[in-house]
Amino acid sequence: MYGISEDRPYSKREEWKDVTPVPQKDGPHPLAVIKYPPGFEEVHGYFRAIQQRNETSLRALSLTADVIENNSANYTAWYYRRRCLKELDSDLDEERVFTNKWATDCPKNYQVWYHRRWLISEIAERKRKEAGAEADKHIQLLARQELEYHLDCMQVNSDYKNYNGWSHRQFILQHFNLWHEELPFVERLLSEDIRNNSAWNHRYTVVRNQSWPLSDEIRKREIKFAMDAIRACANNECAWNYLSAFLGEGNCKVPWTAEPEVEVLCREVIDVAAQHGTCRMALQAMASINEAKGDVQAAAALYSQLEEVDRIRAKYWAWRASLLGAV
Amino acid sequence: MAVQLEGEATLTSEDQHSTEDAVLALFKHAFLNNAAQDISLQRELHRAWLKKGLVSLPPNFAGLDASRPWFVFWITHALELLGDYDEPHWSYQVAGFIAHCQDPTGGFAGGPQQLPHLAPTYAAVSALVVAGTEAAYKVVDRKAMYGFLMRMKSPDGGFKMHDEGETDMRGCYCAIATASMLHMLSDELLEGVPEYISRCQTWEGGIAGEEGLEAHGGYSYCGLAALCIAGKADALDLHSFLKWAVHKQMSHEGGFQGRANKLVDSCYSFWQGAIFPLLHEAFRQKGGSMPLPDDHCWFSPQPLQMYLLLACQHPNGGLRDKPGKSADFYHTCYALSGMAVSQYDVQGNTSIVGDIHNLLERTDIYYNVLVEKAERRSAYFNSLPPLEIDGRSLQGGEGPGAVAWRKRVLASRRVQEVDASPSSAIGRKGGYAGGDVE
Ligand SMILES: [Zn+2]
Repeated sequence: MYGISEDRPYSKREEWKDVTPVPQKDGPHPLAVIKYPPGFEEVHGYFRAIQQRNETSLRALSLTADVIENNSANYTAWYYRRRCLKELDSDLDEERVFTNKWATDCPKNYQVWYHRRWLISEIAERKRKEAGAEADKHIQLLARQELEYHLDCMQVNSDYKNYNGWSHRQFILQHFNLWHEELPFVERLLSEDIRNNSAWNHRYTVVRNQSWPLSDEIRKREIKFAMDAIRACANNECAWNYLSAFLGEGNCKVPWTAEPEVEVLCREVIDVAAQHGTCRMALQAMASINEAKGDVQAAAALYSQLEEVDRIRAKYWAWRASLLGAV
Repeated sequence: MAVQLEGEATLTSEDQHSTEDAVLALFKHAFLNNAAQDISLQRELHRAWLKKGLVSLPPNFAGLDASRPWFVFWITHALELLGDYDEPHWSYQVAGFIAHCQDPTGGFAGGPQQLPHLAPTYAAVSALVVAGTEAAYKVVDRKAMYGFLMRMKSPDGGFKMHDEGETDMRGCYCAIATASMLHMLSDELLEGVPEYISRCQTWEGGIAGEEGLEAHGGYSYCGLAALCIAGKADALDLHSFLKWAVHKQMSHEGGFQGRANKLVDSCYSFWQGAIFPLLHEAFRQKGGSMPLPDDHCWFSPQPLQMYLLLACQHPNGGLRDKPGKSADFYHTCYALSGMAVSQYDVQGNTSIVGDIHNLLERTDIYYNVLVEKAERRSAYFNSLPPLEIDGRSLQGGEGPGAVAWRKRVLASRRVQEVDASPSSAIGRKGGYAGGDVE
């Protein structure tokens, strides 16, 4: 009913004969003129007519599906579709089925994910209004299905870093207050790819939403998690960045010198790396430790080593060294 | 457990290795066959390809029918960077077409009769600034535009992209840059914006599209540039931002990645590359006695240009994301914009890889239009009487950060023009890549 019903041109359809399509007004000097594929202009002509009439009807709803089929990035069509769904009080479970393929087929499309976000909130809202003893259970189920759907999208496309998808997941976790169940999912993704920075970021956001302000215990747990990851793969920038999210100056951090085993690990990595080149992250962490100790000379030596071995950032390292005397 | 340097291969490391191999193979090929000064930007090829796209696009662009002002901006700005924008020829058409994308309630849409949206609004206004004529400036209904921008403000301090649309960091930049270019950046428009952007600065140091998400080159540019325009970059932790950004330049490929452990991509040449001069400005805005570098602000311009010239030029014209991809207008615009940013240091001295004719025009790091065009626009809007809205005159103007930077750039250029030796082909200090290839 809400999908595309048929192939006949709109001009030949009985139910559309009262509508005159509205042409696109490109003006006398159009630029970036797209040679539209067959059918594109007709569908859009009827869509413009429907908008002009401000018509929200079943046929308008099915027309938006046709426009989206022609161009899934047409935000105007998605917007108008939501208007129709609201005013017609449509079956939103059916709408969920309609959007299923869009997020898997066009995972980088902002409109699709935003539509989905609206849809899930709306469904939950309606269930809440119906109330009943089962409402909460249904809403929780809906949210969990949505988290599954996000995982499916990543797996189908073999892309575990899709930004819009992660945005959707975090929205669901926040909206339905599910942060407390999320850590095992993060650990699973990181065990599959320890270099996936989206998963590392998600881990931080989970901790931020679940355990803030940080207790010493949780901080130690996270520092240990990062150190174990560094041990398993020291040339992984993510793990070092994650480590420094809890060390240094700032909210809920402790000084670089607070956890002595961090220094032990840095020395170990620097030693192992010395046989095959260098690990710039370890040198950088070691410089931070020395700065925290107030050992300016040792920090300066590390920055000048970095300047030598990490040529592409040489100017940055030299500047960092120059700040040692200045502060 | 003993320390492993590389650890087990994963999806990320496999993708990284194959990209690295593809890029290094092209470098090797080029160095075997060319002298450094023969490395050249295929201007003719790119120009022809760009001009064709400005006129018409094939059916497979139907999925980009809601981005037409973007094509006009991407292409005309890319032509400008190449020094090939024919103003008398194009400007009239640009003004005419962009006018048809304007909504009567304010703002511009992705195409005629679509819903106004902040992204094409920024693109449309930038395209009109590139057009550079009074007739083009006059296309904008500023009163309606101001209403549109205020209507897009969301309670959390960010901006919605369109009515009932999503809120993310793009909205902040598009709204603030547009308002500033049109000299109507006001306190009420900026209210809550620094706090919103600051909440989106992540534990890594860069800025995310929304609070809680991953630091990302594109959103980092958007958030930082918006604050720098307004002169409010002190809302951010600049040191952690810089630390994050320097690590996004790839050791082997020379180009930038958008996020940690992602692949090199030419569009980040601008999004990440422009972050350095912006941070330089931000530190300056903050004041204090901290020494700042004046030579290309912390990153390495030469490997970046090497990546763009050797790995990203498509043999049929245009620039691509990375080897193996086809060229597109978005990447061509931002690859060239990033190259232009990397060719000029704070003082206006140049650093050019390869042929000296690879030097591009200088772009304004706040709006990404040529510095001259940004200046010409400001002269026009300065000459207008204050805008009357609901019986009061709008207390707004161009963002002070954008004004200060341009003033300094233009002043240092005048000094250099006086100093330039007559034998210099370009009137500014140029440099060859020479043997500086790693
Ligand atoms: Zn890109």
